[in-house]
Amino acid sequence: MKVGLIYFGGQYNHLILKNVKYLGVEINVVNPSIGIDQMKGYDCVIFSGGPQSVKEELHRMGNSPIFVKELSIPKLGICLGHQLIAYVLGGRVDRADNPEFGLVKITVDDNDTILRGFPKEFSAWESHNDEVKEPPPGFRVIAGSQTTRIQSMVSSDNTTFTVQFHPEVKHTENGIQVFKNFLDVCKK
Amino acid sequence: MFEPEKFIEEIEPQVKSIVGNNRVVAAVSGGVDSTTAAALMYRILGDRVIPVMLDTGFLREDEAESVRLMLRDIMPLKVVDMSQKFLSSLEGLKDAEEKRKKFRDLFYTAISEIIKTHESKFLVQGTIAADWIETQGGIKTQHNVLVQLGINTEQTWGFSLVEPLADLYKNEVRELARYLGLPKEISERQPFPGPGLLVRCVGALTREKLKITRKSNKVVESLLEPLKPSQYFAAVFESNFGIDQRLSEILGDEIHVYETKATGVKGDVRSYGKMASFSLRNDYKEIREVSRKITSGDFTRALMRVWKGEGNYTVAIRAVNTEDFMTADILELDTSVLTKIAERLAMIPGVGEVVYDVTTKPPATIEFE
Repeated sequence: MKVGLIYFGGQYNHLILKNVKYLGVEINVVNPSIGIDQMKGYDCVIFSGGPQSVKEELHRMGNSPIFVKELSIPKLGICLGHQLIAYVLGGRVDRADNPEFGLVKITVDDNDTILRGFPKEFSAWESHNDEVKEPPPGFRVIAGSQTTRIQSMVSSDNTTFTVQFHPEVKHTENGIQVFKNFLDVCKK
Repeated sequence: MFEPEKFIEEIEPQVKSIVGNNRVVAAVSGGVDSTTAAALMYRILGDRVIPVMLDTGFLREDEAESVRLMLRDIMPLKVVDMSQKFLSSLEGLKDAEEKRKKFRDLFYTAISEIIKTHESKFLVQGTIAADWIETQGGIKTQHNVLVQLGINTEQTWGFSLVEPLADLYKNEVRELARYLGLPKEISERQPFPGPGLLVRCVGALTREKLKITRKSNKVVESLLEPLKPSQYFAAVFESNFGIDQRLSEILGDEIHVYETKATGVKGDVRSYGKMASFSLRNDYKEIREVSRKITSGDFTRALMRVWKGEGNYTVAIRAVNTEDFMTADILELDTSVLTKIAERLAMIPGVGEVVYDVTTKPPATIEFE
């Protein structure tokens, strides 16, 4: 099995790479400017964080909108990746009313799919100026925080998952579980 | 999990094929990364490795000598005193990035001379993942990141780089050091940035401020060391401030805004912004909430005022917990502990205020610049 990590220049991308590698799964960094035909051979894909704002700077994110729409493999979006998936599939993304940096308490509504194994409330670490205001059609919101309503979403066919927080950093409680849950879906 | 044995198996042939039969110079700052990198290379290449420490003038008190003694039985460290050159070239520079970039130029010009003297063409350094990630992301220019920025070291300075730890984080470097059998005082050593006290002397560099920074660091280190935070130090800047009316109203407190700026990271973007302080309180739930409200706007640092007296300089105490230095949480220090540290800092001539930095990473970085 091989995971593609779409790289947008975020601070924690290399940590995602190491987390997945240490779980014993092959993972390659993918430059989003490559063509979709070069994405063959990947069993699933992770869209990582980065400094861009999807509303104004989608043109700086290569072919990633095409990957989101056309790749029929399991997808996980983290931070900017979460916002990208929401925006491209018809949700609304804008400046956050309360940007979150550092410690945030996440409240879980449904601890299934990507949040399986998480308690009703846990501490996560965040760093974002934008937020998803409205989910795209067919997506279910499964977690939120006091300052950001949409912290995690799942598509109706249970193949696309997103989180606004950073599961790859050590300060997020049991964050590695997000990757375990995602890789379980990829294996199927 | 990280496996030191496997790591060495992978890195040894790589290093040997790069270096061949040549001599290599290893730059040692005395921190855990560069010391472990040098020791690993010494293990692989023996006395073809020449470990060198540059005294840049920004080391802590007696540091050069204590590092040389600490390494006595592992490798023979050469200490080269460049402090006057560095100090006179950097004096008066104010902008954090300008200071870091000038330091980088001075550092590599000096080290390339040493490499030539030893008829070598290679430099070993302890660059780790957090260094190149922050530099590439434009958060701050780590002085030891060159190739990842597209700088051709061979053309510019006449040497090639060997960076055996570039894929590792701090906690993994420590595991490697333990595996190599390095003494505890190295594997568990407190991290110390390459540009040293230069980046803790926040804003314009002056000899007076540097002197206060050195003394303050000694006090803070000696009092916090028993608590074993991942990183702890003091940063010093001019106390000049104004009052932010809007924030003061919102928070029901007097919010001071300093003229000096500090470095932060918000949403993967560098943020070189102002610092604000609020009055002393006890409850960390409340302290975290105030810190959050201050930094969700334009500010990169929230500081809690511990003590105020006469004198031109503010000393900020920093103490954080982190394994990999990519994110960091603050230590919830009691006001009694903070007051005790402040009493000692207040005895340093020139110190007029002591604050406690209560900003996590993000939105702040661990160091101030």
